[in-house]
Formats: sequence, C-alpha cells, structure tokens
Amino acid sequence: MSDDVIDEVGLVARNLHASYGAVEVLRGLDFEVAQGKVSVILGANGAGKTTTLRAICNMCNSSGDVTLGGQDISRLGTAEIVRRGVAHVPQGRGTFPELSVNDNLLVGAYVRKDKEVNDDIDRWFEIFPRLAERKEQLAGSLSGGEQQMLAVARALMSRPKLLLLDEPSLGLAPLIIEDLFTRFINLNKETGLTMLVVEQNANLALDMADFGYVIESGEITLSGPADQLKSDPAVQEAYLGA
Amino acid sequence: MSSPLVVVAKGGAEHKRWQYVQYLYLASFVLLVPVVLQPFEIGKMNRALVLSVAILAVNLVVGFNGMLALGHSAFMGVGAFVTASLVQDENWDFWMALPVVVMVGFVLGILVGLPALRVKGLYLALITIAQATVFPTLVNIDELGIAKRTGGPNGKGVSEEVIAPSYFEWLPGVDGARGGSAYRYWCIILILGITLLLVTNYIRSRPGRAVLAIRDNEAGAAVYGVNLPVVKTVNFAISAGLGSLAGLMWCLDKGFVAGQDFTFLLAVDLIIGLVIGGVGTLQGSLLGGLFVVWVNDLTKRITIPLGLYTLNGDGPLAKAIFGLILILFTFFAPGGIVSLAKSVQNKLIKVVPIRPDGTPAEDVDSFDPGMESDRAQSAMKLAILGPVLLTIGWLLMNVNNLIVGCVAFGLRFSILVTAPVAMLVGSNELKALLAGRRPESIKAQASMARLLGGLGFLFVLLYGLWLFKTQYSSR
Amino acid sequence: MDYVLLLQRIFDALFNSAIYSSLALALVIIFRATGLLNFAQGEMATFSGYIAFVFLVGPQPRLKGGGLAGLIPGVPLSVPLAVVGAVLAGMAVGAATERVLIRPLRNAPELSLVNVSIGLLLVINSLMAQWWGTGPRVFPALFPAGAGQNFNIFGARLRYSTIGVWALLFVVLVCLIFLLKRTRIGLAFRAVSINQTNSELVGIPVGRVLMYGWALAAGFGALAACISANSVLLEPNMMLRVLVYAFAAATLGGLDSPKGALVGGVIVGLSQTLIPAYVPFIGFELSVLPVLIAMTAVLLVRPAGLYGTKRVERV
Repeated sequence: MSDDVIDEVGLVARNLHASYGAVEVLRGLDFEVAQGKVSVILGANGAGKTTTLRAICNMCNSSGDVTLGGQDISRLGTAEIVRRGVAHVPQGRGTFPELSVNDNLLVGAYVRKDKEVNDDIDRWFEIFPRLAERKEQLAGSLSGGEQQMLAVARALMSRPKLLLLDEPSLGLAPLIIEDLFTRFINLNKETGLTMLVVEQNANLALDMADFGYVIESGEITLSGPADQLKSDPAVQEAYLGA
Repeated sequence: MSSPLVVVAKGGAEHKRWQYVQYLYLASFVLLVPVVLQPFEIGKMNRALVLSVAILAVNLVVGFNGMLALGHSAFMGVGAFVTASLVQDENWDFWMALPVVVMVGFVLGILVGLPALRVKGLYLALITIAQATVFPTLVNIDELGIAKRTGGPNGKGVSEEVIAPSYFEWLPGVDGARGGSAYRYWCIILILGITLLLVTNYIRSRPGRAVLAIRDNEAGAAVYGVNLPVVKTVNFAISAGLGSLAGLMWCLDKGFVAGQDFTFLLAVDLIIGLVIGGVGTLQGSLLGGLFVVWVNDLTKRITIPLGLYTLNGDGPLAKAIFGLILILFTFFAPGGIVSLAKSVQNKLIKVVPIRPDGTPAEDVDSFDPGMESDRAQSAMKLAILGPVLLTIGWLLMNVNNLIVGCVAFGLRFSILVTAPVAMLVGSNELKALLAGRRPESIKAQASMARLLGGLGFLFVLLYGLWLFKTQYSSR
Repeated sequence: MDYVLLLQRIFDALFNSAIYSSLALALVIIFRATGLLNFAQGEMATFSGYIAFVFLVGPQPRLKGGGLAGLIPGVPLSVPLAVVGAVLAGMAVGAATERVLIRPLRNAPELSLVNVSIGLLLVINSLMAQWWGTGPRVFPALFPAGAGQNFNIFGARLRYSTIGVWALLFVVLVCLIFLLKRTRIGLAFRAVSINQTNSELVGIPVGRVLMYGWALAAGFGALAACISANSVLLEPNMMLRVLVYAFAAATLGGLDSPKGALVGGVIVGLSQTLIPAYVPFIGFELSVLPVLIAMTAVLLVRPAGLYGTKRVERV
C-alpha cells in the first residue's frame, strides 16, 4: 500500500510564499499535482501564476514546502531541482536563440548521462517534423509556434517527472494553440507525464487538465476537478467569458 | 537603537532646524579649512576639491546617465593645458580663460561622444579608455606646435602666481603666510559652488530628467520621445566641459601641468572617488574627491613591520589599499559613503513626507521635553559620546604612532556624526528653557540627557570658536 | 619602397600580434560569459608570468621597491613545464576570482563588476610590486630567438620564435574550438553565454561553468604573459599597455567573437608596427594612436566589430 501512495504523490506545495522586494506576490499557496495527471493554475495578469512556477524551481525569493515524489526540493538550487526531474518551460520559451535546434535539444539533455540522448532527439524530430527540417538552423530564426515546440521538446529531453508550462499559448495563433494543446494531451496520455500548466486561456487549459486552481492576488480562491471548475459560475464569468 | 531617535515632518520646524545644523556644519567646515590647516594641507584640500569637480563630471555620465566613461583624465588634461597655454603664452587671466576652457571641453566631448554614444553598451567605456591612454603621449607630439605649447615631456609651468587682490584680503586665511594657497582655495570653492548650483539645476531641468530617464530605462525613454543620441551626447559634452573646468582648476591650484599627471591612473582615481562617494549623488562627488586625496595621504604614512620585511605605505601598497577599499565598497556599500551616511542619519532622524492634506504621513515624534526613558537613554549616550570621543581623539592626536593616530583620526571623525545630534538635543533644551516650558513628569534620565545634550551643544560651539581663535592668533 | 623591409616589419609585427590575440581571446571569453570587460585581465596574466618566472629561475634577490620574493623557495624547472605550471596557476587564480569576487555580484549592475575588476587590477599590480619588486626581470625565451635562429624568406628574417608562438597559439585554439563545439561542458558554456536563467532551467550549474570560463580566460592570459615576458621584460606594469591593445583587438574583431579576437590581434599588431614606420609624424611612442583611431572607426561603421554578433534587444 505504501508503494501505491508514493506512486500517487506528484508535486505537493504547502504554504508557498514568494516576494519581490517588499511586495508579497504569493501568500501561502497549497496545491498539488497527482502523479500522471495534469493540473492547471488559472489567474489574471499579476495574480502570481508565473511566480508560482518560479517558486517551485527556487528561482525567486520564496519560502514554504515543495515536495516532488515525497522528496523535499524547496531548499535545492534551480539546477539541482531540474536534475531531480522538474522541467520548466518559462514564459518567453527559454530556448537559446544563438544555438542550433539540435544543440538546443542537446542542452536540454544536459542533466542526463545515458547513451540514449540521440535516440530521444530523433524521436522528437519524428513528433515535430518541422524541427527536423530546421535541425541546423539557429533557434532564433524559428517562428513562434516552432519555438514553442522546440521549447517543449527541449524541456522533455531531460526526461522529467514533472513538466511546468508557463502560458504556452502566449503570442500564438489560435490554430497553433489548439494543435499544441492536443499534443500536450497526447503526451500526458501516452507517457503519463505529470504536468502543471499556468494559463489565461481557461477553456483549453481546463479541457486538458484533471484538476484546476484559480489564484487571485497570490491566493487560491477556487479549486476542484477540471469539469467542476468549468461549470462553476464564478469561473465562467471571470475566465470563460460566459 | 532600531527605531529612529526622532521622527520629524518634512518641512516642519524640527526638520528645518536639522537642516540648519547641517548647513552650519558645512559652512564651518568651509570656513575653517583655510584658517586651521597648514598651507600644504590647504593645497591637498584644493586638490581634493578639484578632483570633486572632475568626479562630478564623471558622475553626470556614469551616475546620472548610466553610461560607463573612463576617460575624463584626458578632458582634465586638455583643460589644464589650454589654461596653461592661455595664461602663460597669451597672458590671459584665469577667469578670462574659464569660458574658453569649458567650451573647448564641450566641443571635444561632442567629438568623442558622437561616435561613442550612437551604439549602446560598453563601447563608450572602450573609446574613453583609449582616450585616457593616448592623451599623455599625445601631449608630446612635435607636429602642429603641440609640444611647444604643452612643454612636451617637461610639462608647462605657469609663472604668474595667483595672489589675492587687496580687496579680497578679508577672506579667512588669505592674508599672511597661507595667503597663496588660501586664496586659491577660495577661488576653487567659488567655482565649485557655482558648478554645484548649475549641475543641481541641470539635473532637475527638462533635459536633466531626460538624462535620468535614459539611465533608468533607455528603450522606455526613447518611446516617450527622448532623442537618445542628442541627449546622451550633449550630456557627455557638458560632462567633458566640466572635466575641462576641473583641469583649469588643477592648473590654477598647482601652477604646473604635465602629461604624466593625466594618465589612465587619474581616470581610475576618479572612478574610485565616484564609487566610494556615492554614484548618482552630488554629495557623493564631493566626498569622493576628499576621500581619494586624504585616504591616499593617510595610507602613505603606514609602516607595518613584519619581522623580516616592512610594509611601507609610501610604495605600491597605497594602490592595493585603494583597490581593496573599492572592492569592499562594491560588495558591502554599493551606494558609497552617501548611502552609509543616510542609513546612519535614518537611525537618528527620520524625515517623514507630508500628505497633500497637510498632515505628516507618519506619526511625528519630535524631540521635545517629556520624552520616554529609552529614547532619553539613547540621546544621553550620544550626547556623552560626542565630547568624550573628541577629547580622547584630541589627547591621542599628538602621539607619534600610526595606529594610535588612526584611532585618533577615527574618533575625531566620529564627532562629525554625534555632534549634530548633541546640537539638536541641546537646541531643543535651549528652546524649552527659553519658552519656560517645564515638563510635568521629569524622569531623571530625561533631564540628564537634556543637560548633557545642552553641554554637548555648548562644547561643540566653544570648540569651534576656540579653534578659530587659536589659529587666528597664532598666525 | 623596400619590400624586404616591409616583409621584415610584418614578420616582426606578427610576434606582438600573437600576444595581443591571446590576451584579446581572454577578454572575449569573459565578455561572452559574464558581459564584463575584465580590466584585471592583464594583471592576472602578469601574475602568471611571475609564477612562470619563479618556476624557471628559482629564488631571486630582491629588486628595487619591494621584494618578499627572496623569502620563497623557487623550483628551477624546464621551460615547457614552467609555462604549463604558470598556466595552471593562472587558471586557479581566474577560477578563484570568479568564485569569490564575481559570483556574489551576479545580479549587480555593470558598474559593480567594472569596479571589482579595477580594484583587482590595483591590488594584484601593487602586490606584485610589493612581492617581486618594480624592477624588470630577465625572462627566458620560450622558443629560440637568438641571432641567426630564423628562416630566410625573400631576404627577410622570420624568427623561429614567431613561428613557435603562432604554432602554440593554433594548437591551443584548436583545442578550444574542440572543447566548445564537441563537448558537453563546451555546450554548457555556450548556453550560459547566451542566457544564464535558461541555462539554469536545463540543469546547468551556471556558477561552475562560469568559473571554468574564467579559468580558461586566465589560461589564455597566462599564455600571453609567458610569450611576452621575454621581449618586454617581466615587470608589474608589463601588461597595462598590452591590455589596451588587447581591448582594441577585441573591439575590432567584435567583443564576443574568438575569431575576431584573433584577427583583431593581428590587425593591431601590424598597424602598431607599420603605421609609425610609414606615416612620418607618428613616432613609435605614438604607435597606440592609429590603433585606437582604427578601433573608433570600426565601431562607427560596424558597432558589433568585424565578426561580432549584433544584439537584438526586446523592449
């Protein structure tokens, strides 16, 4: 039984605080992402969504307990957290514009020491054939959608246990967004990858997610299974434009 | 002493009194220098003030516009040589040369700044380093009569000494033995004062705000219609003109200029002064000049015997100490002396802004009779500390030992910090006495503090008067 | 025009070019990684030169102006060993500098970094003067440089030492390129040069990679010092002027381009020798002038230098 429980434990954050200077951005968040599931955090601009992801990766001045698979990661450095299996696709995508597409993927696998890196690269090129065509091009010359794909592929090259996505839909055309989200859903279904997505596009995000949170001014105001949130009148009014 | 000793409203009577205390300090400092110091010490002070103007010039670019400029030694050199040439070869007066020198610096600044400032980043730093490196050799070129004008490697002296006209002999220190250096001191103070006034106004003006906007957010400033190249270049040119003016003051003070005086090392001194004084503040520029000259003077006296070997401050060690201080300041006090002084001041006196409706933004907690015992205690300590430190410093001053000398210097320096508080406490006490107000519940400590504060105030006052008198009569 | 003399001058200039190129490479490596113009690069290099000196000739009597050096034991070693030792010592100093002085200032403004490097310049320079004295030291040549040790090409003498120095530089450069393009740590270094935050997000220990970068740069500096210590004599201020030339070389080539540093070094070396020789009113004392004017001109036409990448900024 205990094995089962540990398997179920994905990411758990308790009493997460974060501040920039004197400004407190997160005021004690409690949330979790179950193993193999997708959770989504919804919120308006400035609610603290991005900061939440940054706090998980210890990239800002934060306090609170964060555990991954039962292990405390809240006091580790960013690079060490990544090594423990968290992949973060930040806003602005986090690719290296002056490296080639291939090098970007190689850098993504920096924390791995096994021999299957090149196999993985080939696998991502199969999934994203557009990237394969631009293998030797500099990442900076890709279009927005391609860059987002590269960012995701780059993040997954580390074979993470948990993928953090920061507004993947930002700045992309609606058709490309739909395509991207379909891919995310497939990823989760096929590989059982645990995901925490931060989004303003509540419709798409809730379709994809198993569980959702709504944050306002650094506090969680609503939470529940995605279907339930979707039908919640408050969410509908604020985020779904109903 | 975590909470401030006194909380006063901005612009209120208490705040004004505090400002008067500061002005009084500044004025007595300015007045006492030519009276108290020996002629060679006045000369050092002159050099410090000249460097202050040069640092102010660097500050305009580095501190207020956020660009890295490391070549102001060359502008100083140009100013100094133009002055020397005009005064020596053409028989001009220093004051006649002044506008010309500033203009020359301004034009040179445009010539250097125009290419360098078109591109962002460290390029200005690179070009100005080049300029600082090349200047000392440029002076020696024989072509175009340059070497003839500059004196080449031998340097150029200005044979006519700067002497006070008879109608200026009333200035403190000017008649008598220290006459020459003291008069030059007053000339420098005058130029410095006017410069400070002009720069203050420039920074607050419309172009000045554009300069600050570029520092804070270049792209943002451009979006709001600030013409980046023009504003940057003009600001750089003004700074170069100021640097050139500092060169004139250098020539005025020393009466001799040589290419070796204006090397890259001088430019480094300016940056050190800027950082240690406080980047982006006017007071910082002044303090920086004083720091560079006087700390250099202090380190020269260091001799530390280490068994087989003696560390001698007269050799290369002085540079190492400067470097170390620069690194330490960068790490622990990036705001320089000014921010250190501000944090000390905020512990003593907090100035609270006034809301639009006329009430202070926080509860004002002034230093009137009837204060609670813990603040009374702090006040008492401070009021005692000032005179005590001063006395010890005075006693130790004549002991001929470096470490004791340093301690003595430190102690005498600390009076500068404690005495204003003593004066404030004392003046409050004086006011209370004059108004006939007697606090109803006098705690022993409170009255003690007031007594000592009053005494401290009197002590400082008398000390200043005594210093003034002895120095005058001994001459 | 005397073409033999011209050729001879070019050959002579190439020796200095190697010095400028290697120090410019050091500057470029640090600029790429940290975005800092390292003013202390020259002094760090000179320090390595002194280390090589100690390895080579053992303890020496104190010279004018200081000299604790007489108190430390020296180890006479062969030239290649001494150079390797000096490069390693220089790399250790570089790594330590990054760890102690630069890393804590990661989020500090540019000026702070410049200040630290200027402070370091002063400290190292003055400590060297204190320790080894201000007088110049005779430093053995790395490659045979005596009379008659040269090739004769169209009547001009190309010294073995010039060829040796360039061969050495090329070997080191090939190793560097291999390191950057073909190894994991090289990839990490390139990633860190582009974006530190993103590098951290892929699990690269940014601090440690930067430390390696500093060590690498200091190694190039050490090489520059060992090459030049024979011709300009080893003394504490040896690298001050060389540093200005190296800055010019790095700027000419583009501050972030290793290839540019190499080409820039050659251009600076050539113009430093040739222009005073053929332009009458520029004496050798003023040889720095044309170089700096060329640097300014290049900045005007191509702000990013000959090979540098143009930075695009997001508003």
